[in-house]
Formats: sequence, C-alpha cells, structure tokens
Amino acid sequence: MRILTINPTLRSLTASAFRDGNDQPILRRQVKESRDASVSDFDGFGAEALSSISSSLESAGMLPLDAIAVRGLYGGERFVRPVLASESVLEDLAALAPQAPLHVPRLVQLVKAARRVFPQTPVALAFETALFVALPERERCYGVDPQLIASRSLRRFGFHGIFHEAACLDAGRKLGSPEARILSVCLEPRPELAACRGCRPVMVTGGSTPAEGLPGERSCGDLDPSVVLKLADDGDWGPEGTSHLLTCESGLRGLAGRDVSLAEALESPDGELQLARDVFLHCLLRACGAGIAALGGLDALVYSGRYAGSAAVLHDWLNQRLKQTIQRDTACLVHSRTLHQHLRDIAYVIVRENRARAAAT
Amino acid sequence: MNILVFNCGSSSLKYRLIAMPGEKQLSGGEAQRIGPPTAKPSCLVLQRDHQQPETRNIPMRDHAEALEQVVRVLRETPGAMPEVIGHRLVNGGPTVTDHSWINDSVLAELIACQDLAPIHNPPAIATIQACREMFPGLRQVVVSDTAYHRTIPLYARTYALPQAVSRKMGIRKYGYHGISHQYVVTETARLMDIPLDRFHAVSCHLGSGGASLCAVVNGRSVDNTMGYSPLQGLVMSTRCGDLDPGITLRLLADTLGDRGAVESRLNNKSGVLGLSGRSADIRDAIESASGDSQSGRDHLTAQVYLWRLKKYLGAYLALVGRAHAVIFTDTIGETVPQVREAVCSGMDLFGIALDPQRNASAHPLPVDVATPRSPVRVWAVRTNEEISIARSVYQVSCES
Repeated sequence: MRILTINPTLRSLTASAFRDGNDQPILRRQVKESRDASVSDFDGFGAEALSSISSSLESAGMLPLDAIAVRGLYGGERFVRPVLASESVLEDLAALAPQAPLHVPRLVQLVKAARRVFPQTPVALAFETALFVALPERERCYGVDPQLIASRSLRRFGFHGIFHEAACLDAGRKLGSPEARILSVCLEPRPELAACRGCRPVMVTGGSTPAEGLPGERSCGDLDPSVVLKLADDGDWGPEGTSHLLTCESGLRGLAGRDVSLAEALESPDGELQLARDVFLHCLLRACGAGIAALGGLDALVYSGRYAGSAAVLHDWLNQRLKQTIQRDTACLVHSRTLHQHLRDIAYVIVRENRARAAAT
Repeated sequence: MNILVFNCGSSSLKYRLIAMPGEKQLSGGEAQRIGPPTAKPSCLVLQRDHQQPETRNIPMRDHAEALEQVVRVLRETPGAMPEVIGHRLVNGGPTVTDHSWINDSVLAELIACQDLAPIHNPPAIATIQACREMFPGLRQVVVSDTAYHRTIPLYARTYALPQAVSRKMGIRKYGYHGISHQYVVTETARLMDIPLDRFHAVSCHLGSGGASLCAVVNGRSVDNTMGYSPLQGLVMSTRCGDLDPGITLRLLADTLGDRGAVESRLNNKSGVLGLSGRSADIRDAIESASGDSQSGRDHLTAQVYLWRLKKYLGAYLALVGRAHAVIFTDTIGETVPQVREAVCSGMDLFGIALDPQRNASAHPLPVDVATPRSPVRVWAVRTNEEISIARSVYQVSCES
C-alpha cells in the first residue's frame, strides 16, 4: 500500500510517504507558508504544496496512492473516530469552523485540495480531539454555567489523542491488561498528560483550547483567568494580542527568554534554562498527582511524542518524586513512533475496512 | 499582652480582644451591614463568654464609624483595652511579604497595591487609618493571607509568561487563605505530636464562599491553588476556578472587551451558582444529588466541584511527598462529611483510608477520621483566623 500522510500546522505542513509495511517513509517534505499569508490564502498554499509533493511522489514511483491521511487538530463532538472524507463529512467539518476558526477552515481547504490533486485517492481524516469526546462529564465541564458552555462547545477536549491512543494501546499490550491505569505523557511542543483507563481517558491537561494545561514551548499553560483579563485590558495587547502572547510568546520561550525545545529544557545543563525546566516539571508533577487521583491508582507511565527520547531523563526524576508519595516505583514505557507513522497506521486500517465493506456489498 | 484583632469584610468588621500568649478571648463581636442604609439596619453583634450574643442596631456608614462603635463597647468592660492591634489583610502585595509593624511607609505600600484585593483590602486599610487616628499611642501589625505563602518556591509561583511582562505587570502567584491554612497546619502538627518544621500535609480550606488547597512541606506553604487572584483553582461558590485562557479571551470578545462584565461573571455568577443555576451553596447540590429527586444540574454541580477537589488533592499529595495528614477546614470542610468521603475515596495509593463511621460523626472537632491503619491521617479541624492573627501579632511583638 502507498500512503501519504499530512500534518497541517499553522504556518506549514509536513508530509511523509510510506510504502507497504516499511516504517521508514520513502519521502519527507516540509512546506512553509510565507510569513504574510492570511488564512484565506491557504487554499492556494495547500494546492501548491500538494502539487509539488505530487511531482516528488511521481519521481519516487509512489503514484498512484492508495490513501492519504490528514491530521485534524479539532473535530468537535462530531468526529469520534477517523473518517474518510466525503462531501457530507466536509460539510459537517466546515460547520465546526466557529469553534476552531484557526484550524477548521484550513483543514477543509487542505482536504479539498488533496481531493483535487489526487482525485482517485481516498482521504482519511484523523482528529486529535476524537479520543476525548467521551471524557466524563465531570472532567469535561468547567465551573461556569453549562448552558454558556454548551452553546459554544467550550468544553475540555485534549489535543494529542492520536499519540495518547497509540501509546495506551501499546502500554496495555505490554502490561497484558486492556484496563491498565496509565499516565500518558505526550512530549510534543505542546506537551499533554492524559490519565487513561486502558485507552479511555478520564482526565487530561489540555482544555477547550491547547493553551490550557502544561506549559509548552511557546504556550502558557494554566493561567489565572484574572491574569488573562489583566493582560488584555491593562497591557498594550488587547484580546487578540493577548491570545498571541499566550500561545506564541509564553511557555518555555517566555521563561527562558529564547526559543527552547522541550527536549533541551529537560536535558540541557544550561543554568539559564533552570526556571523553565523547574516550572515545567512542577506542573507535570502536579498533573501526575491529579491523574493518579483521577484513576484511583497507577500501573505505568508511558511517554510518546517527538521528544520521547527525553523519557529516560524525565522518568528518573518523575519516578523519584512520585515514589516519595506512592511509596513504590512506577513502570516506564516509551512509545517512540512518529505522528506520521500513526497517521499511516490509521489510513491503513481505514482503507482496509473500506475495501472489506466494498467487497461485502 | 492584650491584642485587638480586626478582620474586615467588604461590609463587615469582625473583632476579637485576645490575651496572649494564653489565647484567652476577652471580648469579641462583629459589625454587620456597614454602609449606606439598607432594608435591614446595620448592627453590632456582641459575643461574650458563654452568653447569648447581644445585637445592637446602630447606624454605621463606613468602617471608621464601625470602629468607633467597637471601641465604645470595649470601653464598657474594665481592663478590656488593647496593647497592640492586629489587622487582617487579604493581600499584602509584592513588598509587604511578611507580617509587619505598620508605619507610614508600610501603609503607603499597602495603599499602592490595594487593587490586588479590591473588595477586601480597601476597607481593611480604612480601618488601619482610623485606628492610627483613634489610638496614636498603640502599635499596629498587619497580618496578611499572602504572608504564609511567601515560602512558595519561585518555580511554583511563576506563570509561564514572558518574564519581562510578568515583572512589568507584577504578575505572579500570591496564594490566599494563608491565615487559616497556617492555623490548621499548626494545630494538626500539635495534635499529631510532630514538630511543625518536619510536618508535611495538604490543607483543604473549603469555605462556603472561597476555597483553596495548600501544599505544606516542613510546616511551610509550597503551593496554593489560588493564584495571582483568588479566582484560580477550585470550583467555589460563585467563582469558576481554573478556566482555559482561550475561554476567558472568548468571553472577553463576546462582551466586546468589557473586562468588568467578564470579571463579574467569573467571580460572582460562576462556580456552584453558575453550574447549578439556583444556589451558590454546594451543600444544596450535594443533598439534592444524593436524594431521590435528582436534578441533572445539581448532580453535575456536585460532580464537577468534588472532581476538581479530588484532582487537586492528588496533585498536592504528589508535591508534598509522603504527607502526614490531609486537613479539612472551614464551613464545608468541617461540616460536610460527604465532601471528605468523596474526595478521599479511591486514594489508597496515596496512603489514605477514611473511616466512614468516624467521618460521618466527626464532632466535636478536631477529629481524626482516618482508619487506624491509614498511613496518611485525615483530620477535620476547626479554623480560627482571629487566633491565628493574634499569634502572628504576638510573634512580631516578641521579635522586636
């Protein structure tokens, strides 16, 4: 099977092409959007990027494709599992635009472009939020009028469902228990901790947007609502500027005064990164405690994400601290597959299912 | 040493005259409904030893007038005059970090940062100023809730914002309810016969209004669920507690940037009141949710309130290492066994095992409601902010 996987982010997209059972991509591309492009220009950007990728695929002998898998950051409550893009799916997706105005319109445009550039190829959509649609009510609700929230879908989701689900499945297999109590630590630029019973999350640090939770490389994480209002009103930023400040200028970057990757913050001995490292670890330790309370116990910690390589260093520290509280060691599992490999797996499964269905009818 | 303690609310003035170090209360009471006349008159409620409280209706337009009435009452009792005055302040600001003598410069610092607690600090400062005029010869001490949290480490009080912005705008975690946390932590360490400087605990101050948890290592605060303001953290009676920054910004956009409207919604119309849609008292939701006539919103309210609490208890137990005790105090923490039971259930891995019978019949306080084998003890302890303030004032007096 030949599968193209695409991860659209705010100012770029990355793509990988896989062939048959090979875990290593035949081709990897990152295409960056020019700085001054606005959301409405994305249509052009997506089509252009995909045409260029198409030529590369052709040279590599990768055409025709069997499937394309696209990562969706937000699928609302409508999308609880990966789907094949159809007209009606795209309509439903487009209707979610007011809930995630920065992501959904771009995703719709990208999928439409993919269907134009690769007209015969099924496009699978995998949503990061899907795993969290079924979060228990007590976890997904904020302490505000539920009607205010329901009318706007301002509920908690979690934004690394693809990593968490794969990591927890893997952990369950290794532990020999499909109902294991797992703290899943996703080490990405916007890190996230989910407490899962098997593959079912009962608590997650991410919120209604990815700004809440653990501090990220550039995002603030948990913040007193009064501080948000103070920044937007007293500061020179206004609401939009504050949003930018909290999602692009804060986190490790804000604390260290320069761009820092999570791996560097965790592993570098640099004294100037001390505060960033300590703030992150403090937040993570708190999240672990909250997750253990939510699960009523703990069988293992599983680490995933692009910085899963830092798991060894991180787990040493975390295990030592948790051991003081729970009086025993915690198993450490590392799940080091990439996002594109997960997307490939998802596409593989969904295409096989689709073919089986077609054969049966 | 007779210490007169003032504890100011927005429209109330609580006072106690306490003989230290014996902690004997000589006199006490509360001026209520201070301010412009309302449907009910303002009044002074006097509490004397083992007697029914006496209520006197007296017009009191501001805290200075309330203070005059309190002093008049004190003069009725021979020997009941203070030697030192202690004032409770919710937030001492960035410079008055510890309990301290009040002089011109300290007062100026407090006035400069009174907006940090806009409801509580201004009347407390007005009372301090009135006392200085009325008792020019008496020394006064300011005791702040934030002082107990001055030991929160830098990494725990720093928000992950650009440091230049935080510095410029004075953004940091302060933490609140410190006077109460300090009192119950000190009491519980004494009850357990553990030296305070080796005592680890999570203190749960669950008031009928505000609520916060405090992580305590070696007797000192190392984290508090409230933040820069009292809005962060737990779900409270009318405050939302933790909220996604993105939601706060969206609410601001909804109101076309009306900060006051959003502040008012999140502080006064959210939390238990916002969730239940009918009552700001979590006891109503818990009773209704456990009764036959389950209202969907009451059930949701109880679930969200208790879940947030339980998650934070786990979070703080992880910070503390092996705690000696979990402490519950203030109105909800002291009197609602269902809250303690719900929050402590399924916490075996943390070493917590609650005894359901002891918990259900915890009276009179203090009571240890854990099973005999529970490695972590669970205490219900009555808080006493005025005694806590008097202790701090006495300590400041002895140190100088």
